Amino acid sequence: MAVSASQRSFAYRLNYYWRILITGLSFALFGVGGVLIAVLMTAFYYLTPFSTNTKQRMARKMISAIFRLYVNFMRQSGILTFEIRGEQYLSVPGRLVVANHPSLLDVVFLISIIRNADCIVRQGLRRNPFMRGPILSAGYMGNDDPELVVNCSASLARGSELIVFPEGTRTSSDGPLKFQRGAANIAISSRCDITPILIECNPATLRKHQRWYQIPPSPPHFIFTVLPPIAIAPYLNGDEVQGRRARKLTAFLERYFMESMSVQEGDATGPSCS
Amino acid sequence: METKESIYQYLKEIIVELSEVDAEIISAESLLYEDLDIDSIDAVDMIVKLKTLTNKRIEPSAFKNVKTVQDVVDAVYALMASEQDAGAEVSE
Repeated sequence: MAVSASQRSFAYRLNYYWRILITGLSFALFGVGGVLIAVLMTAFYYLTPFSTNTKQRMARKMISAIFRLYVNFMRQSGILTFEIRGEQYLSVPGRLVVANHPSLLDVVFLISIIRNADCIVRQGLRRNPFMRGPILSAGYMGNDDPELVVNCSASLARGSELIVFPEGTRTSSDGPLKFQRGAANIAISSRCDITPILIECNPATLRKHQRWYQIPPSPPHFIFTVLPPIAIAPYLNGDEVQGRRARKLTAFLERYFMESMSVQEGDATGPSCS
Repeated sequence: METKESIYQYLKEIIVELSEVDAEIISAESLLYEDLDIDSIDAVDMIVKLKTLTNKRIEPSAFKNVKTVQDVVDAVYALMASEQDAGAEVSE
C-alpha cells in the first residue's frame, strides 16, 4: 500500500504513533493482565469446592468475558476494528470449530465469541508459570499428549466447542491454504460436525515473522465469518479407511475456506489477509 | 510364505492407494512420515491391510520402531517367519 501525501500528514503520524503506543500497551496488558488473572484463576481452581466440570465451565466463561473486554478495549482505543458474521451458527455444543490462522489475535477473538471453548495448547505454554493457572482451570489440552485425539473426543462429548487450526501454525505465505489432517481426524474419530470460521484481516497484521511494532498504515479490520456447519456423516462411511476419509475431508476444508475467501474479498487475491 | 520382494510390492500398492503418492517415489529407504505423508492413522490402516497378507493378527507394537518402508517389510517378514517355526521368538 503506497503512502500518499495525506498519509504523511500530521494527523496521520499522530494516529500512527498513538496506535504503536496502544499496540505496545495491549501486549503489556496481555502479559501483566495475564499474570493477575493467572493468580485469580489459580486461587479459584484450588480454593473453590465445585466439581472439576463446573470449575472448567466457569473458568472458560471468565476467560471468554475477559477476552471480550480486551478486544473491545483495542477497538475503543482505535487500533483495530472487527465484525462477527454468522453468529447464529455458533454456540452449538460438541462441534469442532475449524479456522484459518492469519494473526496472533485469532484465538483471543475466537474464545471471546465462543461460550464454552476448548483448545489445544503448545506444551511450552502449559509450562509457562503465568499461563499454567488459566490453562489448567479451563482444561485446555496439551498438543504433546499421546492421548490427544481421545481427549478431544471426550471434551466434545462433554459439550465443548473445540477450536483447532488445521494450518498448524499462523499462515506464513500467500498461496493455497495447506491444512494438516489432525482436525479431520479429530472430527472423524469424535463423530462431530464442524463449524468453520473464516478469519480475515485487512490490512495484514500480527503475521508470523512480524515484530509487534510493525503495524499497518491503517487499523486492521478483522472479519470473523461463521460459516454453515459441515456434516461429518458422509466421512464416517467405513467402506474407506480413515486415512483416505481424513484426506478427503481435509481437501474439502481447504477448498471450502478458499472459496469462502474469494467470495468475501471481491477483488483481493490470495488466501492470506493482505 | 511370501518373499521380502513380494511383501515390498504389496506394501507399495497399499501406500499408493492410501497416500495417493506416485509409485515411482517409493523406495525401500523412503521414510513413511517425512517422505510418504503416512501418519499414525495411516499406519493403523496399513497394518489392517497387511493382515490380509499374513492372515494373522498383527500387533501394532511390532511396528513401534518402524521408520522406513524397508522396516515395514522386515517386520512383516519376521512376523511371517516366526509363525513357521513353532516356539520361535518374534524379534523386531
